[in-house]
Amino acid sequence: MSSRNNVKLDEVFPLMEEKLNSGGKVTFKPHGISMLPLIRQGRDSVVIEKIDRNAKIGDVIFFRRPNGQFVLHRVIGKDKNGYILCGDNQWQKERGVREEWIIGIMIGILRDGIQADLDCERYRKYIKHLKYRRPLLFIKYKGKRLKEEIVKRIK
Amino acid sequence: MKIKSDYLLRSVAGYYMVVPVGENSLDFNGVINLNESGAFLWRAMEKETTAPEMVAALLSEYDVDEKTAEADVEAFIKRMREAKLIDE
Repeated sequence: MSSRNNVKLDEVFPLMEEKLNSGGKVTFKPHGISMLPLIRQGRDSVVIEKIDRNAKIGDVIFFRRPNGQFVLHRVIGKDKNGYILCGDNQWQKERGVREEWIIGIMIGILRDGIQADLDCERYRKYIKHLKYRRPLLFIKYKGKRLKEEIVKRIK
Repeated sequence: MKIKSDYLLRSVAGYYMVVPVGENSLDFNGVINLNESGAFLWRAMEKETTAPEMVAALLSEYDVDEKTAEADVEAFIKRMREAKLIDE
């Protein structure tokens, strides 16, 4: 009778948009590892609400790229081309994210069904630590590439 | 028995989804996905009905034998009961 347990965002997007436009909230489990260690695939759900103000640095926004891909990443800046975003587990920045691509803002995380507090000192410290984490992720990435290159040359 | 009125069956990209209505929050982790025959049984349960009536409805709509129809109806009712979607 039932065929699936997981929803595909592009399929349920009209329902999602309808709920958000009527002032409601939507909850779903995001896929991917780009927001680790904050959001773990399969375990955590995020609560999204339509944004009624400009996104600010530190906000996690849910948006849709022109190619149809849904993304949940953190705002780390803004310039004349739009928002600058980056996943918490990434070092590469995405520039030029436009206001009209934004679907909503993350207002909560459900971990094993329990709402995590995003209005606390621990979360604020976590956001602050990301600016040190990103260069380390970059060094780790470069180190891995270098190791691969060396192994390739030795062979 | 009857399906609770605070849920709505919606068609989404070739399948069906049961979503709560009137709530300010839509939890996609809690929605129930149904295929075509599941949606058919859901519609049958939107008004007061019984399991034998649902089996009869399924037999008249689909090319299935009685045993399969009974098993399908039983499984559907069990699932809806577990999800607390039925007014007994």
